[in-house]
Amino acid sequence: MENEALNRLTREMKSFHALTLVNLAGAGIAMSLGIATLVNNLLPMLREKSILFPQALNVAVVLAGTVLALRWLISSAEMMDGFQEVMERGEGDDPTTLIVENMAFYRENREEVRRLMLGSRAVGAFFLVSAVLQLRSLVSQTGSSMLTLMSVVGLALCIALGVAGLYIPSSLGRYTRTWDRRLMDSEDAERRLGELLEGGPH
Amino acid sequence: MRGKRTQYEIYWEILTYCRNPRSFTGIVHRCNLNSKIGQEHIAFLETKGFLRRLDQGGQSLLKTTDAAHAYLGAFKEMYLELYSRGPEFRL
Repeated sequence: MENEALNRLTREMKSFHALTLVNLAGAGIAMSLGIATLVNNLLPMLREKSILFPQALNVAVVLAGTVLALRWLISSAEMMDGFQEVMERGEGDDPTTLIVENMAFYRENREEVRRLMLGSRAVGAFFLVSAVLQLRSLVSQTGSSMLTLMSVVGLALCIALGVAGLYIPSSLGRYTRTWDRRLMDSEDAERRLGELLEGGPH
Repeated sequence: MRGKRTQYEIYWEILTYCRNPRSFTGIVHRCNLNSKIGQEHIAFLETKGFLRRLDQGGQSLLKTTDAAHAYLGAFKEMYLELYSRGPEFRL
């Protein structure tokens, strides 16, 4: 039972660690893409020294998305840092230590994981909308082949980030459901431990 | 250990750590407790007979007693059981 639990726990921790990595990478790419798009839209207005349409609208929308991506990036980095510590502290062959470490981590970060899901969904939706807009401009574009290639790359990135933004919350959802159930079961374990300590401590 | 732990998890951690004699400072540091809370938990475990004080070279140390084995065993069994129940999280 111990070995089985240890193997299972190790697999789960690797999965969650990979998820935090994907989160961090997605947030990083989203933010850099946002900044690049901001600069692209700001430059023509700076050149003309006036507010142009639709660039001004793009700047407003992309700025909002970039701020969301920055928040996503910070949350992902914090989550990854915390989980890294759990992995380091739980190194060894004792599954009970790992279970307790993971439970404490989840209790502490439950709300943050939910916020991450929401933020990730928002960023994913934002990039899918951006992809639709880019597709429209690509269809009507009559520029050089280099410009077209860049637009296609931009479109592909937006789609990838949009899909990642929607996939991550579904994985995090599975993670929260798994641990919520364990926390619920742990209440029963706590009751039994309390009884073992003669009607509970203090 | 960081994060939110229940008092039962803190007891388990103290008792596991004190399988070898430990100082009060070592316990609160290792179990990430403040002095006041650490003192309360240790006092409780002493009243239950799960911890006893030793004097080694003029230093007061705490060691887990055999009486704690039932608690440690039950804790381990329950946590392994609740963890093994239900589906596994995978990407």
